[in-house]
Amino acid sequence: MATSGHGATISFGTSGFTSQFTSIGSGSSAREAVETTHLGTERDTANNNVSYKTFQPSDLIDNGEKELEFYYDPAAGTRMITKAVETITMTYPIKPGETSGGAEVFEGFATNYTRPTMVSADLMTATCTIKVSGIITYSAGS
Amino acid sequence: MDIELRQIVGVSVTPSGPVESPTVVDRVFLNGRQVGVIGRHSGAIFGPLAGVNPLLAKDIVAAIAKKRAEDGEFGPPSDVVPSVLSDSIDELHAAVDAAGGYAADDDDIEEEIEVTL
Repeated sequence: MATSGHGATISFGTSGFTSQFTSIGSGSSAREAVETTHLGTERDTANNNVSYKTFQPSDLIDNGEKELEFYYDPAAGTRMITKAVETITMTYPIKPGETSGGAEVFEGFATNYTRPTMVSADLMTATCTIKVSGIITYSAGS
Repeated sequence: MDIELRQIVGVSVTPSGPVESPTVVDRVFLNGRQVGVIGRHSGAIFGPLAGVNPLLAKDIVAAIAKKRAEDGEFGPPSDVVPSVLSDSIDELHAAVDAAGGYAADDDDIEEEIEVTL
């Protein structure tokens, strides 16, 4: 069943950074396609004898970045860019009938911090990019 | 306070089948419901789930410290309590004191957990 992201949280195990998050982007994982075409790669005789490039998946996966948006707190937000690699836990909303939410645990650090735009009659928001280093461990809610 | 810590264990699918991957993070349960996460090391900072206010978070951290002291596996967690509310902890303490202390608010806090988590 589809559910909204309301109630999701992200926790930083060492820096303790927190804010009122308005968006937690889960990011994406990617890997290169390594070309394996060779001189003997099969020809398509039915289509003018062309050959098609072949590939295999790289054995290196980049687990990407998490994009965070949050209400700006001068006391907390600006320091994230200075922090070292730490254990970060992203918790999914607890579904009806569950007592715990699904979780992603990974190592990460901030690579970008965007300061807020200050205008009247609007809350200041900031964004932060968290680079994932290494594996993301997934755990289902229960 | 009935606090329980359960290590987060993920599952990775490998060519030889699913493999459990223990993490360095515990889920924190209060009265059987998850209220946050905390690292499995000394000085770890408690990460509350949405709806856990700073007053309750402070009590949870104290309970975690007591439990870890009893278990002896890790040193105490950090006493830093992340706050996502606009009110400072001192202001909330003052509000609680003005209302007659913690005991008067315990039922309200527990009721709020059931509604918001």
